[in-house]
Amino acid sequence: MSIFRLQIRMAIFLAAFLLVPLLTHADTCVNGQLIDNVGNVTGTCTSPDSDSQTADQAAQATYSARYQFQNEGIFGCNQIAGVNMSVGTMAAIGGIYVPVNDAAVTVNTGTLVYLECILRPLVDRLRESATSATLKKMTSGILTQRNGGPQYSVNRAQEDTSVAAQEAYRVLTDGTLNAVSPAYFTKVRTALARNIQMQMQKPESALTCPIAQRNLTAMTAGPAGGPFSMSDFENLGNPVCNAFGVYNEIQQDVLNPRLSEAVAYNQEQRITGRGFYDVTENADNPLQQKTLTPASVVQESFQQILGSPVRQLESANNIGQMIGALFAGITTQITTDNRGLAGIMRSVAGQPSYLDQVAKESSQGVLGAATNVALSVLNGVRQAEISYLASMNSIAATLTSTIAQLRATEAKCWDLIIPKAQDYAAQNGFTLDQNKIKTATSSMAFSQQIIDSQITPLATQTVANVKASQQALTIIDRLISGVTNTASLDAQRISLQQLDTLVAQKALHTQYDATAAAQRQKDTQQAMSGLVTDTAQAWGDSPDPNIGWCNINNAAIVQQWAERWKK
Amino acid sequence: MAAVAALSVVALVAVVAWQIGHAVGGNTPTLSATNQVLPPAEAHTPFSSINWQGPLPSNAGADTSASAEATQDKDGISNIADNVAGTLVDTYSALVSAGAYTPEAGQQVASDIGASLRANISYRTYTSDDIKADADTSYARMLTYRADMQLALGPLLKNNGYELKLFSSYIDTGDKKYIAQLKSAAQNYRDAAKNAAKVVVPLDAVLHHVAILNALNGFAATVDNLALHADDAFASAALLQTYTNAESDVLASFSALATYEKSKQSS
Repeated sequence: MSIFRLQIRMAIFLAAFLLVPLLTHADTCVNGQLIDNVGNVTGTCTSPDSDSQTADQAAQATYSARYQFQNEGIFGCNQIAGVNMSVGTMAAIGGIYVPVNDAAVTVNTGTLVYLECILRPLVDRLRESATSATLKKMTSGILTQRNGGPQYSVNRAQEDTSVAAQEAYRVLTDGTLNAVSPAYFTKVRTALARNIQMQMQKPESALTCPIAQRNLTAMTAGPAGGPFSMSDFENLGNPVCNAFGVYNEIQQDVLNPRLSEAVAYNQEQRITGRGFYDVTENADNPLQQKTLTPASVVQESFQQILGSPVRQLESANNIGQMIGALFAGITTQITTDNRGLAGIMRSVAGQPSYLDQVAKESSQGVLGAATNVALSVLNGVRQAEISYLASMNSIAATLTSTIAQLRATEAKCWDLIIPKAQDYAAQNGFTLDQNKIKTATSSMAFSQQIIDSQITPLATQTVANVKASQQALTIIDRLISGVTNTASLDAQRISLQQLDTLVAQKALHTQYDATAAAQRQKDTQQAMSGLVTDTAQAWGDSPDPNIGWCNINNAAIVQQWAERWKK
Repeated sequence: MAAVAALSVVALVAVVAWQIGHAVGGNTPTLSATNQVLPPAEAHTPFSSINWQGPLPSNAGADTSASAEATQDKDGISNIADNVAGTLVDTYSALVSAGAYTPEAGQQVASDIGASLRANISYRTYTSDDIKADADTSYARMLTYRADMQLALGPLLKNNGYELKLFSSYIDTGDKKYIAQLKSAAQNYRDAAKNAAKVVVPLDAVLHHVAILNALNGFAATVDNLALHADDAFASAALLQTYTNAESDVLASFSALATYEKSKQSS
């Protein structure tokens, strides 16, 4: 325990001597560099008038340069956006307020940006504050440690008097006088107190009699009521039986020895500590206080560590650097602890990180401003519905386009087959019936067969989905209208409960539906593209007459169509 | 030579840490409650065993209850600054005295101190026994529970700012209105937890519910302490570590509940 206390006290002494030279050391600015009194470069200075910098300014510049303070500001990051939601609100919305289907606690991207962008400068700011606060605190410690005064001796006589006064106060209040008769206890204690005060402040006044001259003469002549008897005199002869005697006893046998002892102890500390006092745990009680750190030990240790002004400055820098490292350690802990928010940025067990998920889902708008939670949630649901509807519309468009492409392919086939059939008929001496050709080509039977088997079921379902989604959007817009421009929690709660019910009834589409629809849209597009290509290839290239009805390179196909359209 | 120096540093640090651990750790502070789901991370450094919130040596044995009550600092958070600064300078002095100080050694020691710095905060905790449970674990019952919770957690919806942003804004501007907002936010967390503690919970959701109550109270206590010690850089730094854990607890507890709800729907 004592070693630790010694170290603490050493720290206080150390810091006191660190800051004083730091703030008063007359570094000089030369060509942008601060030079200390032994010629070492201690930092940089950029002021055009730096040559005329005061010592304080120079020292502060050195200080800042040494510790590389960053004052770009906590909110210096430009990429911050949308960090307005309370942690609890965000968690509660994801866990309780959104429909069960959507329930998932995701983290606002802005929050994650905060960790990287805000937390670091925040800790930097704290570090700066900690560095100056530490030195200030320690300086304050050395300057105020001893009952609000410095730990070292400033005015020896005054300090001895102060110690004596403290001890005298102890004598008067610590029970030493309890044995004095109550008959004159108060009078004696008052007299002692006055005497102490007199000794401390105006020792020469002790020679002045406080009784007026004429009263003193009368008292010496004897009491007015009669002669003073011998018996009375004997009774009062015992010093402890009269106020004067007790007073003198205390003064000589108790008070003066203790005052002398206290002052001697004070002087001894000062001598052994070479001007420093012991650090004690109870400086108010000079003779009872316990030494925590002998002044001599501290003084010697201090002397050993800080032998010169240069060493003092080095120490200040070292302490500052250590505080910087300490806060760097804290920053690392905060921003890398995988149980903190920072961990959310990492992929765990092959799952995408929260950051990836949020980046992907941020367009949902589920986690917007929280001023109106219901509105925020409903807007998110609306976004999901719009996304779903867009996918369905896209599927419908793809199917429509595929139908058109198939029909165009069939029309192209007819355009190839008809001339070939006409050539065949001419070569074989017969003509073609135009009505039969028109009937065959206008029915688009081949493409319709593909459409009916491959596209119609998808199209039917898609149209139904589009209608359902449009209805859902109407419902959502109605709910949104109900909570817009209101801060009523009840209204929001009712609205969210209605939303929950609608989702349970599958009347609305969730983000999962939207995601599935987007995938389906992609698949459909790919499938339809393949269908058009494969169909054209089969119709035009297949040697099988039942499939390659458009294969004009196959003589049997041309003959078949010419014979079918023969007039 | 370098190896000897390194060993000296390690030995010195270990000795100092041991001394400090025995000196400061002699007086155990008020019991600190921690979230049952995710206990706070404990950094393992030579300084891990130090109780940074313990009373200062000069005050050891003194009756600090009156002053602690006056400053509302029942956890001794305000002791962190003096303990850390003292340890830092002590270690430096010890290294210098032994001729073992190098900037790298000093920074390593300080970094270790930083990594081990934590603020343990006490707060009201709940157990399953404190919760009234309903044996009905149907989907419909879960929906009723959700509705009750939506009502109970209403106070959370009054919080309109990210707590860390409020704290940062205070550090950036010194405007006390942010401290007031932090305190108000903390109260809303406590109110929400208090309301939620009265909700009757489906039996199979009790553990999730308890985790939420404790996370909310833990976060409230952390935010309160951030507001109380915002002007104390060392305490704030330690509390930021606690904050990230408390924040994670809140998110994790609600996330677990969300998973539970979905599982009920699909079952």
